[in-house]
Amino acid sequence: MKPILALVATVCLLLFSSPVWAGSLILQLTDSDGNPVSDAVVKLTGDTPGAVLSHQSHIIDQRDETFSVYVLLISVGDDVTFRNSDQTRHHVYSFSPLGQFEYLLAPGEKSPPILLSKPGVVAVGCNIHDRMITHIYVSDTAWAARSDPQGQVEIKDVPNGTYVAHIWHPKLRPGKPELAETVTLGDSPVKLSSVLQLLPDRPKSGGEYRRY
Amino acid sequence: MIRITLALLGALILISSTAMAQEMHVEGYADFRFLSAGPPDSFLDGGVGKLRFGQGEGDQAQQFQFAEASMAATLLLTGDVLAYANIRYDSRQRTALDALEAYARYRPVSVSRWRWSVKAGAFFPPISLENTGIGWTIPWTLTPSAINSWVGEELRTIGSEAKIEWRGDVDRMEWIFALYGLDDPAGALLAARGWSLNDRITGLFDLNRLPNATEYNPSARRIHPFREIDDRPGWYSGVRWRSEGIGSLELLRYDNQANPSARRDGQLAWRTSFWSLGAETGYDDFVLISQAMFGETEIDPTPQFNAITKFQSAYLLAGYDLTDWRLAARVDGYAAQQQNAGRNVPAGEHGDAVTLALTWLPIEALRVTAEGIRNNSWRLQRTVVEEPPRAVETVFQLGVRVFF
Repeated sequence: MKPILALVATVCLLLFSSPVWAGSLILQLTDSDGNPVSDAVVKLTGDTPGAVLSHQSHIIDQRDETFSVYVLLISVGDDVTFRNSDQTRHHVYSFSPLGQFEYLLAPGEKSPPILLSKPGVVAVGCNIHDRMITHIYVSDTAWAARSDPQGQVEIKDVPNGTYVAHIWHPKLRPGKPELAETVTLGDSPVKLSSVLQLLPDRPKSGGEYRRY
Repeated sequence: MIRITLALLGALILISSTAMAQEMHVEGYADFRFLSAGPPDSFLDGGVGKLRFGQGEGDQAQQFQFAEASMAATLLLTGDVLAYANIRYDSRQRTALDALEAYARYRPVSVSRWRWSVKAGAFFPPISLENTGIGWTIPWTLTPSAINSWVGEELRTIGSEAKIEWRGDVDRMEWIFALYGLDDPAGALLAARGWSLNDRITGLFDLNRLPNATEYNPSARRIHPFREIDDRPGWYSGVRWRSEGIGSLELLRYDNQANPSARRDGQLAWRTSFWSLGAETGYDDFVLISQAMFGETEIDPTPQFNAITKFQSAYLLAGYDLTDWRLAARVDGYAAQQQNAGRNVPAGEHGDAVTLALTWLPIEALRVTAEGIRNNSWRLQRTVVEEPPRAVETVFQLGVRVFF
C-alpha cells in the first residue's frame, strides 16, 4: 500500500470508529441547608462503559489523628499505602468484604501497598482512635469524580449518549433509595445540581469529648 | 486492694510515660462557677436539699467558686492495650486529689464484623447517655439527670467488663458483661437521702455524706461507697443497638449481689439491683436523649429490722446543636418508696426537675454554660429536722470550663 493511501485509511478508521469525545457533566452538590458537599463520588454508567485508567498507586496519610482524605477515589486494580505521619501509633484496619487488612503503624511507618481489585467502597478505621475513618471508593469506570470543597464534580471527555449519574457520600442517610440522575451528554457541557440528605456530624464541635 | 491497684497503675503510667512520652495523651479542664442558690441547704452539707448548691445558714446566695480541675491521661501500651486514668482536684474532697477512673483496656484489632474487648480496673458502668465528655462531664448541661447523678455518686465498676461488638454497614450491636466488687454500699444514698441532681461525682477514695435527718447508720454519717463488705461479686449485663440515621437503644440489668445482712466496720451492705434503659435519636441539629431506671435496694442488718427501698426515675433531654451554641432542656421525674419492718422511719419521696442550659463555645478550648434548675420535691424525711416535706429549689449557674 502506498503511504498516502495508508494515511487516508487510518484517518477514516479514526473518524468512523471512535465516538465523539465531547460530553461533560458538571454537577453541583449541596446539603439540605444549601452548603456545598465535598467528598461525594459521582459515577456514570450507561451507553459507553468508561475504560479503567491504568494502574496507579495512592497514599493516605495520617496526621493529627486524621486521615488525609475522607474519601479517596481510585480505579479497580490500583493500590493504596497508608503512612503514619503522627507521633503516635495508628492501627489501620478494614473489615470490608472488598478488602480486609490491618497494619499497626509506628510513627513514620508505611503499610505495604494494598491492592484493591473489586469495585465498591472500603471503609477504613483506626483500632486505637475510633473517630478516625476514611473511605476508599473503588471505581470500575473512568467516568467518575469526587466533589471538591465547593461541592462541584466535573466528569469530562465522556462519549455522547445517555448515562445515569450515581451519587454516593459516606454520610448519605441510610434506607433511602440510591441517589441517581439520568443525563444525556452532547456537545455542550451539561450542568446539574443535586441536594443530598446527609447525616449530621456528631458531636459538632467542642474540645470536651474524650478521645479514646 | 483498690489503693494498691491504683498505685500500681499510676506507677506504671509514670514509668512508661517517661520512656514513651509520645504515646501518652493528656486532656483535662479547669471549671469555674458563678452561682446563685436558694434554700434549703445542699445534701452535701448535711441539708435536705437535692442540688449540689443550696443556701444554708450563713451561706451567701451568690458565690464564685473554683469548682474543680480534672486531668485524664491515656497511655498506649501496645496497639491493643491502653491504660486510662482520670484524676480530679477538688478541695472539698476527702483528699484534694482523687481518681474517678483508672483502668486498662485490651481490644485486639479484628478484620471481621465481630470485635471483642475487655476492661479491667475502676470505671463507670455503661449507663449514662449524657456523660460523654472528658472527666465524665456532659456536653449539654452542667448538672446530670437524677439517674446519672446517682451513677456518678455510688456506682463504679471495680472489676472487669467484657464487650462483644457486631458491626454492620448501618447497624451495630454490643453485648457487655461485667463482674465487680467493692460496690456493696451502693444504694445507701438512694435510701437515706433519695434522688438528687448534682455533678459532684464521688472519687474512688472519697466519702458520701448521708443527711443529718437520716435514720440509717446514725453512727456513720459519711460512708465509703466503694468497698467490699460481703466478699461476693456483683454483675451487670447489657445490650446496645445502634443504627445510623435512627439512633440507639440500650438495656442493662445490674445486681451487686450484696448480702443485705452483711456489715463491716460499721457499714452495711445494700443489695441493689435495677433495670436501666436508654434511647437516643436525632434529626439534623436536634438530639433527643432519654433514660429510665427502676429497681430496689435492701438492707437486713438485724432480725428485727429490714428495709426495702424501691426507686424509679426517668428523664427526657432535648438538645439543639448550632456548632457554636448548644441549647438543652431536660425534664426529670423520680420517686422512691420504702418498706420498713421494725422501725417507723418517715420514708418515700417523689419529685420533678426542669433544667435549661445554654452553652457557648467561642473556641475549642473554652465552654461557657448558663444553667438554671428548678427542682420540686416531696420527702417526708424533712420533717425529722422540722422542715416542710415539700421543697422547691432553684439554682442558676454560670460555668466556665477551660480545656487543655
